[in-house]
Formats: sequence, structure tokens, C-alpha cells
Amino acid sequence: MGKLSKMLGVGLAVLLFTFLAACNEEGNGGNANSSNGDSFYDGDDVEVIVPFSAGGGTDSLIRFLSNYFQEYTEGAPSFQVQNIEGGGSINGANEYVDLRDADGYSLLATSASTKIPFLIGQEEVRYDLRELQPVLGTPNGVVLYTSPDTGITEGAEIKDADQELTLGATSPTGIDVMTLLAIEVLDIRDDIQIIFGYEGAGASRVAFEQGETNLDYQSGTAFQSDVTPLVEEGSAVPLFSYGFTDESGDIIRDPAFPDIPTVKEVYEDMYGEEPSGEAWDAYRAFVGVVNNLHKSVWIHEDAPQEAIDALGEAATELVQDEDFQSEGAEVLGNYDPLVGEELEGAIDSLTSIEEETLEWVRNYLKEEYDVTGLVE
Amino acid sequence: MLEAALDALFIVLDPSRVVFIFIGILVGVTIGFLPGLGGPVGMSLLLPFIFGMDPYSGIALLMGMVAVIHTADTFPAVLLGVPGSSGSQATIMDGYPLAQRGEASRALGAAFFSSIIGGIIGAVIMFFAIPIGRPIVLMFGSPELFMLSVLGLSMVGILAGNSAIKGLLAGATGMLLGTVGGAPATAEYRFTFEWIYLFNGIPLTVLALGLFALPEMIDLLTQKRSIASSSKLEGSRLQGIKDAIKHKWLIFRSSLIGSFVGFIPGLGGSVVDWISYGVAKQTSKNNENFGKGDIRGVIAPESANNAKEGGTLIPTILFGIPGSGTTAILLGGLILLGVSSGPSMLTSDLDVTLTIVWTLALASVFGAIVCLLVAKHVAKISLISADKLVPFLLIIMMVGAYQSTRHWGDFLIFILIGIIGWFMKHLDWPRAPLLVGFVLATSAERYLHLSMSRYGFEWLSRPMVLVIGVITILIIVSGTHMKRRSNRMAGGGDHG
Repeated sequence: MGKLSKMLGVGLAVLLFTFLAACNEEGNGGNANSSNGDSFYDGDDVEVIVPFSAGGGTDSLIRFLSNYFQEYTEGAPSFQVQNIEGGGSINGANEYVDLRDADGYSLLATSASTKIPFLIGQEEVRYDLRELQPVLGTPNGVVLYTSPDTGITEGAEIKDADQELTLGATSPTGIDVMTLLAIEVLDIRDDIQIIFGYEGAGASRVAFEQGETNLDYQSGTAFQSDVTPLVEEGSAVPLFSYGFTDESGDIIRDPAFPDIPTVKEVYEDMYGEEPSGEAWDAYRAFVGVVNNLHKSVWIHEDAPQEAIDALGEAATELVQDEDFQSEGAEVLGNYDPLVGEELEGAIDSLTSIEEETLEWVRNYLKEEYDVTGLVE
Repeated sequence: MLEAALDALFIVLDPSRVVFIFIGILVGVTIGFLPGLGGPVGMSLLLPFIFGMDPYSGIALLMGMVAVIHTADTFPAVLLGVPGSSGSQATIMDGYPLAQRGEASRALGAAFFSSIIGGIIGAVIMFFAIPIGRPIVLMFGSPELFMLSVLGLSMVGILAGNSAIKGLLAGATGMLLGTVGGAPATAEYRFTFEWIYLFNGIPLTVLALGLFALPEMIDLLTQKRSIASSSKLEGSRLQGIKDAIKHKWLIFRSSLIGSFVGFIPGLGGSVVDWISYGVAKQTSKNNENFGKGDIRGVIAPESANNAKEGGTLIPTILFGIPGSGTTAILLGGLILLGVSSGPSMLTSDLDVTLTIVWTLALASVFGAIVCLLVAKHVAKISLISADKLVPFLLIIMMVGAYQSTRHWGDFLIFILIGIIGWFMKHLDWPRAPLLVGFVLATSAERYLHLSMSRYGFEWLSRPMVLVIGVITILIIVSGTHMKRRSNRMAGGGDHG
């Protein structure tokens, strides 16, 4: 009878392996010569590397997008998500530039936490986002808010708080860097105690609700779902948004929060002049890359032009799809994806980042926040 | 709310959704059965299929799977002494000795019955906790979370076996291993040796499999025997169920502990089974057989780990902060279904929340019944001789370990930890404290750091901190007291 149980075990294993194989099937495209028609893709598989675990925000977005990409890309290739986790998403992005051919059959998805390590020059990063071509970007803003107990009602009063301001953060190498730069621009570092170590944005929001901190920031989409109810019941006060950059690199208001002033406006309120200097340049560069292109899909810059064009056209068309717009509302927040010309503008702001600006950020983080492991 | 609950029940009982629950159960039983694969793997497998489903059906599929993983993972824990997933580690302690005595059916019967009750209690607690969940979660700030980590760490003493010193050292080693990777509070990577695999730390699955599974496999092979020492199986499922009913208060207590610990975000669901095992051992009379095949050592963790699922869903749904790896992926799944977590789950999306509760309760019952039905045959695995069984199991475990990050480092660490585990086993060092130390290292460090940087030493005088502190001291004191007494009664003889 031992046989029976063994067979049961084997049966279960086979079932599982079939599942695994079905879900993890790597994009075995690569055979570019299989396309007979006019289109570059011809029902092939395109692999999309997602450097995060399945079910995360980026993964959800990409899985949502991939069906529409299949529908609108000429030749209807099938888009296969490949999750390569680890190293705070550096692993997967490294693997993309190191081990994937620029044949148009492999794409990379990134979120803000893939971009920051590149921008601050973490030693392990082997990818240069300036050498990749974005296919589609989804914007997401950031809003900083405080507790009414601080007595602050608007951004410009931040230096005159009734209580000591404490801000919950995760680490000075992740998404928090943008906040650190905003604080530097506004010159309010001495007024705020920053507590690093919260597990993520969700944990720091709970700490705010507990009263453990009285200053917190959330991404635009998280603010809409989790902080807006707090604002309505009077237990949170939005102070400023981090804004977006326009074509000329200027900071403009967040389209999802047209009533909340930006860091720039708060600075003008506080000091009566426009912000300038190295911190400001760095801040704008980070906003351009991190907010405008919050989560994005990339392809090798030197991939076949037909592939880049086919995907670009698909992106432009799929955002017009009515189903996409209605189903995407939850995933995208109140932001329209960037495609076509708008995307070109975002690419310009990425490629025009000066090496000196990045170097200034590195030195700033090393000196002010004791960050180690950054390139010299 | 009762009316809304009834409406939700009818939504769940729609025939098409019941089918999805059963598909979820099938996948969950399979995944739980295979050592090393746990909730996150099951979630990743099902995620691609929920596109385009209505939220209730998608939830039926996902929750059906989640509800039974910690039921089915009892099979490998009892039969092979190998954690089926991170939820069943403590079941090994007594379930495996029972299987070695040929009483696998009894252990499985007791475990599955406890799972049914635990799952139902978890769902009921979740139902009543939904309206008051937000204020309760908000009661636990960083200082309280740190104290709960300390409470978890105090289990090290209970799990230490004969020698408290060995237990402490094993626990400390576990905490040391837990520091590998990115530091929780500063921008530093520790003990990574410039190897990017170690940036996220050692995966829990790899550590648990290496520590418990590989040594067992090696010994089975060298001794060329089957797991059960006798060639005949004694004890039946029915006897196990009777055992469980006899210890109904233990089930109830352990389920409460399970839901409560699951409730606390940031502590990690992985210690639930250890805490309930430790508390059961500590508060039971005649506890000298714990670790040698006491049925209560199976009942406690099994009721707790099923009740936990209801608990972990509270912070996940109401705050969007996952209480475990599985619920982290569930959050993504909900977004794909067009549901976003947060306060709206109490108002406009209340029906979705209640659907989750019902699915959890129903799937717990169905899943455990499925497991009970197949248990009789599956229990015969323990009679198969090692040279036939081990090669097959080793491959399954390697796949399980490799699923953690799909990096070759998984294999290397699995074998390294396995060798350490083998030495620990043969030199009579307790391995459970190492695991507990490992699991709690990050949260202990994180919340101590946060408490100190926010409050200085002021946090020590917070009322909840004091209460948890007193409970911790009571557990440690009663532990040493009882150990001394039982040692005296056994004439100082060694056991465990």
C-alpha cells in the first residue's frame, strides 16, 4: 500500500510542476526570424522582468497592462511576467541589462525603488536608466501631511510648530531620498526629527495615526485611499505635494491634487523668492524621474527600432481603450499614463540629468545621513 | 452588520463561487503538502488567474487556498518531521515523534480537527474584530511591538530542552543569522560579503528546511529505515479527534493566541505556532512528554496557525499593511480585483470584507475534511523505507528552497544550514530556539531602534509595555520553576 501514497505524492508533485511551468514559462522569444508577416512580433512571447515579488504594486500593474499590450501590439505577442526579486529590486534590473539580449523580446518594469538606487549611485547598481528606452510610464505624486496637534495649517508655517515635528521614514537610500531633498530645499532640517526604520510607507502611516509621529508622507494613490478619510475627519492636514515637472523641468502642481500647493510654492511663501541651488536642481531631477515616471516599462535602447515602435504605438493606443480606463482607475489612481510625446518629455528630463547633480546628491547623503555603499 | 453578513454568505454560496473555493482548496492542499512551499507560492500561482473575475469569485479562489495551506502543511510536519510551510514548524516537535511511534493517523486526526475549530474561531474573531480593528491595531506602537518581540523571544527558554545555556546560545545564533542583510534602521548591509543574494537576508523557508529537513533525511538514509519504527500503524484518526475534543480548552486558548498574534502587524505570523506551543507546554500539567510525542503539542500549534489567518487579515484589510508574506500578495490580488484596502473596507466595501470572512470559515472546514479523508492513506508514507523515499523528498525540498528567491544561493544556504542542523541534532542542541531567534531578530531590532529614537527611555513606562513585560517575566519564572519541579520529580533524570 506504500505504493499508493507514493503515487499520490508523485501525482501532487506533477500537478504542482505543471502549475509552476505554466506560470514561470520564460519568454522564449528570441527567435526573431519566426515573424513572417510585416509586423515585428508574430505571436511570440515577450518576457517582462518585474524585479519585485508577485502581487506587489509593480507586479499588479504590469500584469494588468500586459493583457492590453498583447491586444494592441502588432502581431499580438504574449507578455510573460518574470518575477526576479532581491536586493530591493536591484537584482532584477541588473539581470535585465547584464543577461538579456537587446532583441526586443525582453522588457523591464521598474518602480521608484528601482530608480532611487541608480540616482544615488548605489555600488551594486549595474544599470543606467539613461541607456534604456521607456515604453510607458505611470505617474504618481507624493503628498506630505501633518497632524492638527502641531497647530500647522499650511506648509509655510512648518517652522512654527507647537510640537516637535517627527517624521517616520524607512531608510535614507530608498524613496525617502526625495523627502530628504525637499526638506533640504525648504531648509527645515533642524525643525524635524526624522526617525528611520519603519518597514515601509504603510507602517509609517500607522505610526502617524498612532500619534507616534506627527509628520508623514504618502504616494498620491495611497493618500487618496488612506489619508483623505483622515483629512475629512479632521485628523490630518495636507501641507504640500512634491509636484511634477513640466517639459521645461519646472515644478507644477500634482494633477490629482490641484488644491495642494507644491514645495516650490511653499518655498516662495516662506522666503519670497524662487528656490535655486544644487539641492533644488537635484530635487527637480528626482521629481522628474521618480514622480513623472513612477512605475514604468523599459526596453533596451539598442533593441530593434521596429520593436520599440511597435510597443510605443501599442502604448499610445491602449491608453485610449475604454475598458482600460475604467478598469485601470484603481490601479492607476487619478493619473493618466505617459505615452508618446509626453513620455518623450520625461525621457528628456532623465537624459539631461547632469553628472554633477548626481554627485552632489551622493556627497550630501554621505555627509548628512552617513550613507555608505555609494560609488565614489 | 448581521444582515450584511447574511447577504455576504449568499454571495459566497453561489455555486460558481463554491467551485472556486474548492479549486483554491485543491491548490492549497497540494502546496501545503509539499515541504517548503507556503502561502506566498500559492498566491503567486493563482494570481494570474484572477484577472477579469468578479471580486467575490477571485476572493473565493485566493482565500480558499490561504485557508487550507496551514492545514495541509501538517502532513510533512507530522510524517516527515519537515516543516510544510513556515506555519507548521512547531507541529514537528511532537507530531513527528508520534509518527515515529506509528501513531501518525492519530496525530493527523487531532491536527485536522484542531484546524477546523481554529479556522472557525479565527473567522469569528475576525468578524467581531472588524468594527473595532482599527483602534486595537493603533494601540500597538513601536514600544509595544518591541515588547511583544521580547515575549516571543522568551519562548527560547521553554523550547530549550535540557540545557538553558544551549537554548540561549541557539537563540542568540538565530538572532545573529537574522541580522544578515539590509539593516532595519540604517542604510547598511550586514554580513552580506558583497553578495547580492544576502541583501534581503536568509530566506526563512531555506533556513527552516535546512535546519529540520536535511538532518532528518541524512539520518533516515544512513539508518536505512522507514520513519515509523514499527511496521504497523497504530492509532486512528478517530482517536486523534477524540484527543482533540478532550483538550477543547487548549484548542480554544491556542486559537485566541493565534488570532491575537496574527492581529499585530509587523510581528510576523511565523512565530504564532511557536508561541502557542510554548504557552501550551508551560500551562499544561504533566508536561514532561512535550517534545517526545504529546498529542497536546500537535493540537496547540495547529489550532493557532489556522486561527492566525483571520487575525493577519485585520491589519491587511483595514490598514493595507500585511501581517505575513501571504497577505502581502493578497493585497496585490485585491487591487487586481478592483478592491483597495483601507478604511473603505468598513463602509463601501464591507460586503467584500465579509465575503473574505465567510470564505475563510467555509474553506477551513472543507479543507480539513479533505485532509482528514486522505490522511489514512497518506499516513502510510511513514512506512516507506528511506532509500525509496528520501531521494524523492530531497528533490521536492530543493525545489521548495529554490522557490524562495530562485537564486542558486538558496541551494548553498540550504545545504550549509542543513549541515549545521545535523550537528546540532546529534550534539543534542535544541534547534527550535534558533528558528525563533531568527524570526524575531529583525522586529526586535527595528522596534527597539524606533522606540529609542522616538521616546528615549520614556517608552519603558507606557502601560501596555509594563503589562507585556510582566507577562513575559511570569512565563520565564514559571518555566524555570516548573522545570525544576519536574526535574526533581523525575529524580533529576534527563529527558526531552
